[in-house]
Amino acid sequence: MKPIKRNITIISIFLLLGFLIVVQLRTVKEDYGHVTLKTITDLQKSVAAERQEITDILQLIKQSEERLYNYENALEVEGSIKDVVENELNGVKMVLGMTDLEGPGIILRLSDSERDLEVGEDPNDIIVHDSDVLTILNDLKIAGAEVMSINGQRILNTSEIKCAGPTITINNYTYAQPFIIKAIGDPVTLDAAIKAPDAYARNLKEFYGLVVESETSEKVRIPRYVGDVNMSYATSKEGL
Amino acid sequence: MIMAIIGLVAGILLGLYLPITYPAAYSLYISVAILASLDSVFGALLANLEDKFDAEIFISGFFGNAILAGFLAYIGDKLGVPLYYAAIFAFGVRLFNNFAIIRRHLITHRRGRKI
Repeated sequence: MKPIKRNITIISIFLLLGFLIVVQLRTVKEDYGHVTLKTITDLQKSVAAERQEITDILQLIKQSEERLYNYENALEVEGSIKDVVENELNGVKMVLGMTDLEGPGIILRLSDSERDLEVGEDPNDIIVHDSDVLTILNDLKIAGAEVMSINGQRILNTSEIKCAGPTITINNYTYAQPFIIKAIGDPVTLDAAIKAPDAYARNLKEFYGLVVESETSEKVRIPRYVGDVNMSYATSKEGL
Repeated sequence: MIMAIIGLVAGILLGLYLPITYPAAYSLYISVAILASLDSVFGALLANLEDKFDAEIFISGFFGNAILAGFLAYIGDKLGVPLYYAAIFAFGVRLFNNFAIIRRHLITHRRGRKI
């Protein structure tokens, strides 16, 4: 090969090499630029979720530390944590509905209307239905009822209110009317939830003529739930 | 040597100022090819020091290695096996070997001159 030709080939080869390297560097650098708006929002969302989780966990740690402090305190002062555990157990039992409770609240009596049917009127209009009871129960919950019972059956989160012909089944026990609904909570608010204009219970009384009698009391007694709560599907899982 | 440096500088300038890019998906193949050609360049440098430089061997090695390395990376991608590792190892090892020999040559050269 002639020297000139050789030089030209070498120059062009190195030209190509330098060119390729620089273009490669530029391409790789530009690669960082492609982030879509969706990715940004997704990342922001996940960051917010993680932050929320961190706050939750911190809260949990704080609570656990508080409990630990209580235990330790009890150990130091009394030499045993029996009392603290017992208190806790009682609290849990109270929430679960395993204890008889007493407090200010309202007692409601609900029964079928005593009026005669109008000509051509549906007899369903003048009897108490399961849905009526359910709606009133919900109204009471909205008004801040803490504990409730119907005809002595404590209302748990699993309690059903089922139509059974002229009767209603609650916690697998069947009751005929009248239905006595008891609720513990702020008596004034609970009373308002029953008697306020356009409240469901008031409508039942005014338009359908059902018997809805309510009275507030300083000492409403609500019995415990009789029976077992069995869970065969749910298992406890920490940290969700 | 001078020709090579002139070519390299001109190539870098061209690369900086020409608005040419390729899809980022090819950057792996190109980088493997660049590694292969760098190996050829070091080999040429060594041959030059030993006065055995042959332009044809250099040119064929430059393009052949680059194309083979890029092709290997491409095939590896298609097969799901990271075959470009083979190119990286082979050319990386050779690159360092070449560099080591070049180093020795240069050092003995300098000592010989001084003494």
